[in-house]
This record gives sequence, C-alpha cells and structure tokens, in this order.
Amino acid sequence: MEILLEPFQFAFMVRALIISVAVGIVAPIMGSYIISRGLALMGDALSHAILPGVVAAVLLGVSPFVGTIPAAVIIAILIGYLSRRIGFSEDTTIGILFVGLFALGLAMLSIVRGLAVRLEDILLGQILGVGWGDVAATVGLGVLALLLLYAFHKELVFATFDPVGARVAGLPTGFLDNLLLVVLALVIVVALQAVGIILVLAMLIVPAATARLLVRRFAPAMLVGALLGVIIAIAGLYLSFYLNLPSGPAMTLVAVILFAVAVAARRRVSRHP
Amino acid sequence: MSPESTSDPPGLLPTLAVEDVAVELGGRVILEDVSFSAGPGVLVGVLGPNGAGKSTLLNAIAGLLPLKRGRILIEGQAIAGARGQVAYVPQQERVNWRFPASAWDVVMMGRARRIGWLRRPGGHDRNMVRRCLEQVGMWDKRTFPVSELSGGQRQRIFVARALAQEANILLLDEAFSGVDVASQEGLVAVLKELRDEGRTILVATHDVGTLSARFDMAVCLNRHVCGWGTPEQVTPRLIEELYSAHTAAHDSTDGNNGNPA
Repeated sequence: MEILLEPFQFAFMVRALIISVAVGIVAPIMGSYIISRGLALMGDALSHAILPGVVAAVLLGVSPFVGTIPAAVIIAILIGYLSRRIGFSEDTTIGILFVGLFALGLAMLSIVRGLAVRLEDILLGQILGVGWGDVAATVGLGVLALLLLYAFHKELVFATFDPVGARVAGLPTGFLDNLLLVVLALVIVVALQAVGIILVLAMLIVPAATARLLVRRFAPAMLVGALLGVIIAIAGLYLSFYLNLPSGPAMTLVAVILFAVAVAARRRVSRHP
Repeated sequence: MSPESTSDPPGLLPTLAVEDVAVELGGRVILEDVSFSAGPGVLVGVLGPNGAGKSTLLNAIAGLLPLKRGRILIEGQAIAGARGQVAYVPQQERVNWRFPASAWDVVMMGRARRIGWLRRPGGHDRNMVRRCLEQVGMWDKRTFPVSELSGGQRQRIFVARALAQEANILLLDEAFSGVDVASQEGLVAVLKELRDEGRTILVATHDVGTLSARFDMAVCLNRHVCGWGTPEQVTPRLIEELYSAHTAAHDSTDGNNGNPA
C-alpha cells in the first residue's frame, strides 16, 4: 500500500497522475477510429511532424500547446488535401511530410542551442516535470476531443464503416474525415507530454487494439480501451517513478505486454472452446 | 421500345428519371446518351457486359459522380435536393469490414440523417430499426457482427439500412455476387416485397438467366442503353451484347473485375 501511495506525496506526481489518466482515457477512444480506418501511419506521422511547432513555441517562450495545436491541425488537413490532389497514395504523402517536418524540427533544435528544453524529453515524454498550467491545458483539450467524438459519434461511425453509403445517405463525409483528423491532432497534443513524440502511437493504437480483441462492438470496445488506457498510464507512471524510466517507454511497455497477454488468452480460448 | 415507356401513370412524375446522361471518368466516356425512367413499385435489373458502366450508372444516380451531360431527377428534383431519398447498397469490397458493427448498429446507421446532428437515437428510431430488421428476416441476427454474417445475410442487413433511411429508391451494386443461390432467392423475395410497397429498386447484376424471374424491367447497358423494357424484350439484345463483349476493351473503372455469372 505504501508503495502505491508513496509517490503521490509529491505534487509533481499528482500532476503526472492527472495527465496520465487523461491520456489513458482519450487516446484509446480516438485510437478506435485509427485502427478501424487504418490511420496508424497518419497518427505516427502527425506526432512527429509537429516537432517544428513544439520547437517554435519554446523559442517564442510560450507554452508548447500554442505551437503544437495549430501545427498539428494544419498538417492533418494538409495531408488529407495533398493525398487527394497529388495522386500518390496517402501513405506516400504522409511519409514525405512526416520525415520532412520531423527533420525540420530536429534542425531547428540543433541550430538554436541552449534552449530550456531537452530533445529527449520531447521525444520520450517528460511527465514528471509538468506544471499546473500544462495539466489544465491537457485536461481541457482532452475534454474537447471527447466532446467532439461524442457529438459526431453516429455520423463518424457511419462514415467509417461505409463511406460511400454514408455519402449517398446525405452525410458530409469530407467534413467528417477532416473533423477526425483535427480531433486526432488534439489527442496527439494531449498525449505528447506523457509519452513523447515517438511513442504517441503506442497510446493511440495498442490499448484500442487490445480492447478490440476482447470486445466485438465498436462503442463498447472504445470504453474498454479507455479503461485499459487508464490502467496502462498509471502502471507506467509507477514504473517510471520507481525504475527512473522515461514515462513514454514505461507506458508503452505496459501497453504492449497487456496486448500480448490478450492475444495469448484469446488463442487459448479459441483452442479450447 | 422508347425510353418513355414506363410503368408510371401518365401525369405523374416518375420516381427516377435519367435523361440523356453522359459520364466521363479520367477523360474516358463511360456512359453516353443514357435515358430511361422508372415509376414507383418497379424492380429493375441493370445488366451488361463487364465494363459496360453498370456501377457507374448506379453511382451517378446516387449522386457520387458528376454528370458530363444530361440530368437525373428524383421525384422531379435534382439529386442535390433529394439527398437521403436514395439509398445505396455498395459492392461488398467497398465496405470497411474491419469496423466491428453488429447488424443492429448497421441498420441504425440508416437513421443518422433523420435523427439529425447532435442528437441521439430515440424510441421511434429503435422501433424503426426493429421493424426494418424484421422485414428482411434478420431480427434474430441483430446482435451478430455483420462481418461474420454470410453474403446474403449482409445484403439483407444493408437493405434493412436502406429501409431505415426511409429511402424511396434503392440501388444495389452487384447484390448477388458472393451470395449462394438459395440466399439470392431469399434476397429477391425481400426486394419484391419492398417493390410491392412502392419502392423503386435498381439492381446491377451479371445474371441473365434469372432476369425474367427476378425483375419487372431491365436495362441492357453497354455504354449506351442497348435495351430497356421487360426482361423478355431485353434478353435477346442482352445476349447479343454479352457475346460480342469479348471484343470490347476491358474496363476496370466499372469495378467489376469478376467473371460474368
């Protein structure tokens, strides 16, 4: 019991806990759409491509949120637009923007030395050093993302399952696709501090995929994913505290282990029905 | 047989009027001079060789493609003003089967536009979904994931979704491909029941042999309308087109890469 409570004598751990739980809830709910629509590469690319936005915000001395939200939203829309216009497949377009912007961010970081930010923290997550302002911004954005997904749930579901049928039925599928990308951008910004750029994808898809193994209906799988996400986030936070690991890898390892357990359990069940 | 001869009573607007329609895709003419019209309560088979433009025609009626020329009227209205009155049952491969939806969920999707933005389904919508599932004989399958249903059962679920949408015109693209013969007959029985309730139903199909048993009217399509009338009237012309089809260039934009049945 003491092992469980001890970390939370520290205010920084309380802040980290709040952010972890927020990420644990929001990311898998968004992730349910990512795995249904095959947007994993998009999620990964988006999280990398906002690095210039993060660096620019730090340079200007403002909160990273100020730089990342517009960067992520613009990039998300740009990817959708370019893949429709240029005619390369979407993954090629995404790949090019992904590496280009990530490289730009890295170049900006190494040109401007002596910043009050470490590359490692941006890449791997640095949840133990967040302030109350970050907590408020993370929770606020998380709630906004959830509200948008809730408000447009039935339309997003239809457009994800049968985009052609949805369009014929009179739904604005282009708007819905862009809306989903904007929410994805918000969720990535939310998850950034907890797990870092490289591992945002982990919180987006691993708990959602694990939930899909356990539950065979979309909305219930979303909720199970959120529950798993919270477990993963909290367990990762303890690992991070006691083993002195960056929070991103700690949470990711827990997530992947849970996934492996679910796969093994399902194989066992299907072998002995 | 002139394009005007349809089953609708004189003086009433036809449910569906296709007038002198041309469609180009990527600079190639897929449909040209296509005209026909259908009144309420007609079950129409759309037939033709591979690449004849059957899917393109259904997509155009669904409002998914821009017309190069001509117009398509739904109850006398342009398609843009008639959104929601047409329901589309896509080819199976155009549906995202990774999405875990139950049969109930899929039929409820049909209610999305009627329910309206920012609202949740109410008791009326749930009753509607139940009635639609019962009408296609799928009520006892409501909790099943659609991806685990057979081809014929899936088609029934999509037809139920079209009913839940309260659409007057149903478009079914390759409704019988991947569906075993017994299930095809079941699906036809459901479609005939809906026809008897006054709906206009267009089905793109390869199957010439069952044409007269299944459809009231038939369109023989090969870029142009090569025949329009009762199945008996159209069948000879259709067979001619199908046998000469091997000389026509294969057209992948139609989406029918399978073999004709």
